[in-house]
Amino acid sequence: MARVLILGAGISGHTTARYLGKWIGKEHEVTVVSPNAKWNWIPSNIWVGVGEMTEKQVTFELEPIYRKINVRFHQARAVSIHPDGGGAMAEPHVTLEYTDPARSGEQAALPYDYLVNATGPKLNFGATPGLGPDGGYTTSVCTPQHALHANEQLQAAIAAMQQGEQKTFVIGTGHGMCTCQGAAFEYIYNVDHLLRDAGVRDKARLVWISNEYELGDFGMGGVHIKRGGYITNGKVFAESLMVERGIEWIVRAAVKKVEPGALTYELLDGSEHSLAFDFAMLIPPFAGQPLNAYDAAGTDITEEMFAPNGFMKVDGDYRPKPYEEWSKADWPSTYQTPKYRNIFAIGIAFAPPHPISKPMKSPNGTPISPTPPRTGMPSAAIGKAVAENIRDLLGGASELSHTASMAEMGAACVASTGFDIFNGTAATMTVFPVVPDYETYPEYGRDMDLTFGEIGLAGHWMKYILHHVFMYQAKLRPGWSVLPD
Amino acid sequence: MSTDTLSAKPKNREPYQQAYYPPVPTKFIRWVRTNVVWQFIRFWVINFKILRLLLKSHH
Repeated sequence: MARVLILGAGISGHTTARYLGKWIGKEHEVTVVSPNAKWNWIPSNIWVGVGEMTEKQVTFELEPIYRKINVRFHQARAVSIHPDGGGAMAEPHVTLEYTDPARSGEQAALPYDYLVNATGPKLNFGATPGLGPDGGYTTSVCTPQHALHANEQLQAAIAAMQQGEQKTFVIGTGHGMCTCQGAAFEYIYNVDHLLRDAGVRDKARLVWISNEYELGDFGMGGVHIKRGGYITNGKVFAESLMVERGIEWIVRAAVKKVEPGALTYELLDGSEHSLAFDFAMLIPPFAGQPLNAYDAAGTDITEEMFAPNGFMKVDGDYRPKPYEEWSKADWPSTYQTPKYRNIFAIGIAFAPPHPISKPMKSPNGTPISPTPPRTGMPSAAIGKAVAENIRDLLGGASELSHTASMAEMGAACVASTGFDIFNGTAATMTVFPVVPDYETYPEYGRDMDLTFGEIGLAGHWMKYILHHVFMYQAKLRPGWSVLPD
Repeated sequence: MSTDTLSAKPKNREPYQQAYYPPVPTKFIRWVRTNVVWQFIRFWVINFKILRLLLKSHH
């Protein structure tokens, strides 16, 4: 019997866990370690942040779900990896610290034969002074609790506007190297929709601020789509939507500091500016979860296994190279670590070889460009491919035959721009591949037949239905495994 | 010219601002975006497009 240990139960970790539980849960030991007792469908947090959904609608308890497929669950935080064994245990193992209230602070070591690192991002609010809801002056929608806090502040602002006050809302990214612009993009339009419904839109100034070079970059270097007889950049559509909704925008911006009611930002030209706000929702930059690695002698090998930003190195090409020489071959496909064939890193936890958007720096040396997204559909596809490979290895395979390179897969993103069954809208976007492939598609780096975008009510229906489909699938309800990931 | 006439005259729209350049959807396009019949058709078209994307992404 082999032991498979999965660290993290986000979109990618939970995908790996549910497939491995289904395929090998009866013969082998599959264990999930996550500091959170609940699973969260993160894409719907923006609806919690505007009061359209409750925390209960976007979360559920993991342990009873894992019991259905013989997966063990530990509510704990991984502290260190010992891939060669050492210390108290000769076998490869991971040390944990329990966050389960019943065992809080208790430490343990779990041995493994296969390890999947799906620890997701550390929300690095500390990178910008004053950023974030815990000790800072901005809100966030990264967790259900953050989204609830954002909605409380939003409702208070609406109440004040109904009394005649004017308010400024600033929404976007809170650092020069953020990813996940899409969540902020959805949030600003949902706030706009809510303010219109409340009859106070005329009392609100809405400002978008982001580290993108142009609107519509989304950390993927933007997209080109066919529309109205032209091949047009997504920037045009993103700007059009901003103008239609009366939203101002600031791009090429790195938020440097947030103080009560005002933030300071630097632009790519090096100039520094200040912006006053009454409500701000700014996405933090992501870093890898703090996790150290040690060899059998107890020597720290963290730098060997992890990139400086804390993400785990896998089968990508991490040699530094200029933008012009980036290639699809740089991107990992099996997510196996080069030194340890029994360790994989998936979802946000794997280290991308480089960004997708061209890196930019201000004359002051401040990096102001998005880091690459690896959330949602790519995360699930990567999680499933790694589950398939571990299943095959346990069945006697000697090679990894399942791949999920972001340079060979597409992604669909349905970005809500207003919640209502008849008057809601969403921007539906697909790109193929996620990482532009100029070798296969020399002109735009993408397949123009599979890359498209449109705005409408159909998108809202899609997003609402997908919410329920993915919650149903994640809860392992009957037929879950035939649903698309 | 009276002062009243001057204040009633609409102000020229400020050019060279960020909101001056992007295309803005017409009333018809905005109506189409929430027209239930058309959007029901688009719903299936979008589903088909995403299905094609999924099939091409599978390895």
